[in-house]
Amino acid sequence: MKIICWNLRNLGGGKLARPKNSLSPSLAALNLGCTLLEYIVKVVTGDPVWSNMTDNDPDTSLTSNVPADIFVIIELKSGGKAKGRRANGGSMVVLPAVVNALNAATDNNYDYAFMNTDENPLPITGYNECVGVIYNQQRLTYNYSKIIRDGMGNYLNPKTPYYIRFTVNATQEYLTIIGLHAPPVGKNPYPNKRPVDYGIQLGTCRELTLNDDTFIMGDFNCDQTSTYTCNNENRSPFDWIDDEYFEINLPEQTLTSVKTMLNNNIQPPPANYLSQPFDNIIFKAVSVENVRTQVLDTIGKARNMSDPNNPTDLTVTQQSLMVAQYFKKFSDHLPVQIEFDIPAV
Amino acid sequence: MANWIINEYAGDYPGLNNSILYFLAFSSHELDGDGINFTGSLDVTGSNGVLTTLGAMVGLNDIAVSGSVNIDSTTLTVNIRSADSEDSIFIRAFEAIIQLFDSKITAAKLAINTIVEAGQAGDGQPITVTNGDDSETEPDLITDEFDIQMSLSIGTSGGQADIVSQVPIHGGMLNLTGDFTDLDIGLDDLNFLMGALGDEDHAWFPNDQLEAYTPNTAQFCLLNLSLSGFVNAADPTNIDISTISVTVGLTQLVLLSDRLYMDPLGVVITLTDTTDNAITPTVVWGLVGSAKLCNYNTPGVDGLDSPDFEFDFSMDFPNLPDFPTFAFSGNLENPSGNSVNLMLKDLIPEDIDIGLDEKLTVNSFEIDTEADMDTGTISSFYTSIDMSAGFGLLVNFDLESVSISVDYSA
Repeated sequence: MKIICWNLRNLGGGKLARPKNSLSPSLAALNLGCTLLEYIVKVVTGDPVWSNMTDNDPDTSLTSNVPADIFVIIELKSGGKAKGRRANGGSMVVLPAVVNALNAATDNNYDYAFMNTDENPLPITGYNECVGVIYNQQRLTYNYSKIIRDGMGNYLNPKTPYYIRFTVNATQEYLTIIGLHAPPVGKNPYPNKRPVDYGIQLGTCRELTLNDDTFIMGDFNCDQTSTYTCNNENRSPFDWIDDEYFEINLPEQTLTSVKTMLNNNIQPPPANYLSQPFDNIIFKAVSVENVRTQVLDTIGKARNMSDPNNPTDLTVTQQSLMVAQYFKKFSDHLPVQIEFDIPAV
Repeated sequence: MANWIINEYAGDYPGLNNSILYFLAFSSHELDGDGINFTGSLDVTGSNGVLTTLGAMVGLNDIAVSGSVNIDSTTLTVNIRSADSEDSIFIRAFEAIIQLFDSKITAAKLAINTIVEAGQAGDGQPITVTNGDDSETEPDLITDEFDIQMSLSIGTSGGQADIVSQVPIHGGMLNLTGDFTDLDIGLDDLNFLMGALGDEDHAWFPNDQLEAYTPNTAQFCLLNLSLSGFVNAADPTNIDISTISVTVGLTQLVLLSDRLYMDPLGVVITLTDTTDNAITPTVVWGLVGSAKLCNYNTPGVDGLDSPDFEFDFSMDFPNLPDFPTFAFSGNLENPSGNSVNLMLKDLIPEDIDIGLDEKLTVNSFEIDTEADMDTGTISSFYTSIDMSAGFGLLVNFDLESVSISVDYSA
């Protein structure tokens, strides 16, 4: 099973398909997608244009050309700010459009949907924002969902995580997704304080103690190495993961946030177009096995696929344009993917 | 991959090498005597794949075009349009591909528009842009549009809706979208978007539920139309329309003289699964609007571009039996931190002082409520107001803001 999580920076309906939010024609000619919706579909469905996405290491066994079973959208736009109220606005345009596009691009093994009924509404997680979770009904059955609170009963601020639980059809095991958007890095003297404290607070949520296969994902605005010292106490965001039987197998300091422009004069790739290790997936494998995590570097791995039988590397200029336009029109984050095996029953 | 435009101008305008023009091949071209305007023909097969999908959609191997190459001071502008002689072919082709538009397309053209500054590389690298005393670093990008432009005749008044999509390359998506002003329309004029399902027995756009808002002769304007579909690269004449979104409404509706306007008051309708007769299409619709309070120094419609206060609201209507809930939400934003005194001054032309502290501001006000049509009761209600502090009883407290909220659910 494959899950992809992607912070798509303030994603509303207008951004999905309008010409002004599309890649320029010269980049659209590379056959990686033109509009953001097209681009999303090609990445999430494992389109052959991204057949090079897996690592060259055969031991990782990552599968490029298989569509994701779950697609989590971070920074999905909603009206309103009251946590728990029903999401509206841009999210209600984006989710049906993405679901329809994914279903049109996949075969009968995939039947995508999202949950937003009166009984199970999609909730706002914070100011003008919600977390979109699109799932494959052929392999997963929705159980329930909610926004979650910490161990003291408080929401995490400013955006509280969204929890959604599924049953894996083949095994009847529970599979839980928690999507989140941590507060951004601040100013000195403790720039990491807010995201680190958010990570610490996350560790107190009772939902983490459940014995489900659990995947916590999104924009943490920090990583395992982010710390700050206060009152001689060194604080880091994920000290709790061992206690709660969670793991992270994305290497420390794996960069995921995209710079505004490519600058070859500063650092070698990918640091010349990526800046921070902000996106991650923390998981608890109870029944699933062989969990692998990877950042989908849709900039560094982009190729000229105008002739699908003869892919070529991008020129330096095309790379530069891709960075600039990806940041300006799509997002300041790369997607992150996690795959795992579900043991046969 | 040079063509005559690249050969002639790319030396002084290197950004052309990073535009769609770089990929195009001309079968022929002829310049007018002024050296600016030209006619010619684009070679679909020779254009490095960028015209393959469009060529298959319209059934052409060569596309007759006309255009111009203008130099104004240091700016080069290239405009290319499919020739008028191709119009009927384009129209028939798109009416066949998008059957919802049958007999409604009045114009359809390929439109290319590229703007490059002299010496501009257009390669996305950092450049410094100066604006008065300020300068900032931006990526070096050119203007480069490669679109299908289409005009639709909608409504009994014969209004023309101009919609545009970037040309699908290697298949992909056709996203036709347009924003309009002064395009009169009635809700039932939109039934054509439901295709074969838009007959007399199915009122997909619920005129009757809006009777209170649409007296007999009132007409809405079409504010926005967007239509998305996937183009199959192997068969570009076959498109699955996945989503249609329409906004109809009134703009610049005066609420209080030339100071307070409803701009717009609209109905948003989103349709999915419209052309699959095996599935009942889903229609989600509601009212949206924005009340705008103009600054007292810029009353009238000119002040709507930068109002002092803006209250956005939306109303979701029930869609029985699956969605029995009526919902209303409203949100006042005050990003400039304007004071309540300014709000009063904007509303009341005479100078008035009711003794409020000048520092008193309403940072935000939000209201959200749902009513269940089945039970006839309000099922949930939420309101919140966020104000500045530093006034009245709070004057001696070091508070940045004060929030009060009420939350009820049944």
